Amino acid sequence: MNKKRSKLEIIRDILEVINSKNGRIKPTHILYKSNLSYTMMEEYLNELITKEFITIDTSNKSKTYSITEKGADYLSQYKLISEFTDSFGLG
Amino acid sequence: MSYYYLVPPSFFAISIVIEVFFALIALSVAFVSLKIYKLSKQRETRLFGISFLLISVSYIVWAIMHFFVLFRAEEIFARLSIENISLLGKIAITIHALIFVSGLITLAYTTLKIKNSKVYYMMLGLSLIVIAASLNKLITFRILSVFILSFITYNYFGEYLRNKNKKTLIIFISFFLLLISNTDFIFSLKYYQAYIVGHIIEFIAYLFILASLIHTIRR
Repeated sequence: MNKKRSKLEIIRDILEVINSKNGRIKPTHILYKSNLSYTMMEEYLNELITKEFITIDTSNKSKTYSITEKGADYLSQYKLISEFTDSFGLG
Repeated sequence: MSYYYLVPPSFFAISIVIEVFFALIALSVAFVSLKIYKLSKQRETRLFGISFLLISVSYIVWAIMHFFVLFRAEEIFARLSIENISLLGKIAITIHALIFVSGLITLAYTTLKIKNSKVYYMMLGLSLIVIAASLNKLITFRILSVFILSFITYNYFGEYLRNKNKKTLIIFISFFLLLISNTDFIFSLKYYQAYIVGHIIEFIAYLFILASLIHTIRR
């Protein structure tokens, strides 16, 4: 059985999914790829918008999410973030 | 029981260097933690950074006080009465104690993963009031530090048992050593040897923290 993902890992997975689709993605794709319930996904997406890691575009019929520079920085520095929080018990 | 530590004269200058070393390591941890916060926006890393920043400032206050005692003592103290010298020492000890305990309370609040800010302010307020109202601030400060550190150490022991890896073991050992050194400092109010032993143990504890920080950055 797989170990339960930490919050940092879930955020990384969501950002990776968005990043893999040229930085823009529909919520259904995120739901499918991130392996979360709809409610959990909504919570995480709202948190990521608050943290300015992603933006939401509602100008078309359907919502699309885009990764920001801060979100890309999180992905590139994920190993450092994860190592630090694991070492000092902050995860 | 004395209101001051008994410090052997031969160790006084060394203790200043060691305290600056503690301040620099704590500042490095704070810097990296706040950098991680900037990247991750994770609340815990911000609080952890603030706690180590406070601890670093408290060591700087302590080192400055010792520095003035050692190098400027004659010049300054010639103009002051014994009562004023005693008052200055008490003020410096109180400032050091208040900042250090604030750092420990912030650290305990973060590592114990308490989410209610009211609990934080209550813990902080209680600790600061106890020190401020105490007649012997030094012994109250040390006992309070040992009390808070025992919770943090127990928490890191739990982290080690859950993860069973080298990095959580290193952090557990470093906080365990900090707990031992702070316990030892209580006795340095009566025995000067305890002041030296406490500094050596604390030095090893900070070496472990530094090793963990370097390991994190290099990977």
